[in-house]
Amino acid sequence: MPEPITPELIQEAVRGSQPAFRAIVEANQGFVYAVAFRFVNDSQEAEDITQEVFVRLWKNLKSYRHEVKLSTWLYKIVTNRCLDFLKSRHGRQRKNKVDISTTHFVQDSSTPEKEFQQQELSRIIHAAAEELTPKQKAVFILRDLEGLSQEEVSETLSMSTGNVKSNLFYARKKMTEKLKTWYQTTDKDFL
Amino acid sequence: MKCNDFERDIHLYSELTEEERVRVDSHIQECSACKELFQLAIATQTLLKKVYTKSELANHGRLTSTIMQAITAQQQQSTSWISNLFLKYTMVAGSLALIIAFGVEQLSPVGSVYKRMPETNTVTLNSASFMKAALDRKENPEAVNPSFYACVKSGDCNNPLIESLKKKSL
Repeated sequence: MPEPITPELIQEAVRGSQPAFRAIVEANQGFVYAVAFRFVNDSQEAEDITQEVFVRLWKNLKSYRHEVKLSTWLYKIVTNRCLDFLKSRHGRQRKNKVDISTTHFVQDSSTPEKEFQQQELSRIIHAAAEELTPKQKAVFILRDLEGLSQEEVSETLSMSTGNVKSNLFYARKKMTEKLKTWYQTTDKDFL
Repeated sequence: MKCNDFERDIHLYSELTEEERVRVDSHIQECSACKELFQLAIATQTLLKKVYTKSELANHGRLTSTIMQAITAQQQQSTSWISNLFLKYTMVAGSLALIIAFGVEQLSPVGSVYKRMPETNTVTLNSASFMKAALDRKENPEAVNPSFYACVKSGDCNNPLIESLKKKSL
């Protein structure tokens, strides 16, 4: 989750203070980058998206409403930008090209064989995630990985809670089925 | 209820109300297939959280600088856009003012024209009438105040400066 920013700092940035905006960038760029990376799975693309998100934030800062949390607004901007990217020609072209070197797995592998197995599992999971529709992927990332509440996901994606649940169901089902199939074909114990 | 009816609730277990969870729990106690699906779903969630750990940004400082540079460029761009717009509107306003001034002058009465030659059909006639106007002016010169130079030359004018010059020369 992003670091909290004081309302005074936001006010200063709204008035056009670049040092205040710099402080906002420094406090939030890590979280924006992490969300973008989960969507695009590419560090360079994620950095470009992060930059665009903050430029867009700067341009629209005057229309900022104080009742909305800055983090919610940032989630909204980064998610919309990532969805645009996934729907774009470039985004579709790089689909299924999962770069294992950029995947991150909690390291608990004691042997090289286990490490290889984890890398393979990571590749399968990312490939499965690439098969989700952009909306399913967005709901899956925001709800299951970022841990936002159902209402926050609904607000971020401007979607009804019923729609959020529906997309989440298909995303979870697809991921479970992919993993089950992989474990069955490799004769490994899933549970 | 059949197992298919529980499939959705099993995958969305975290989203269910307490009452709905109790209903699913009691079903998976009796149905081994649904129990297996439930365990699979939970295991998948755990595994995904392991795989999708938070990715760390390699160079915070560099990205901050890039973002701030982009914002400065954005600001300069918008400023030049505003000045361009100001220049554009100023030029449009100037052009309109000139058009209006020209129109007003065209519509104003003929009296405002300083001198107008009589209308003629040929160049020769036009020259003759121009000469006629000049000859008329020569014959009947209008009463005008003599210039300073004329005063000095004739010495007739009652001018304090000329008087003082006369005294000095004496």
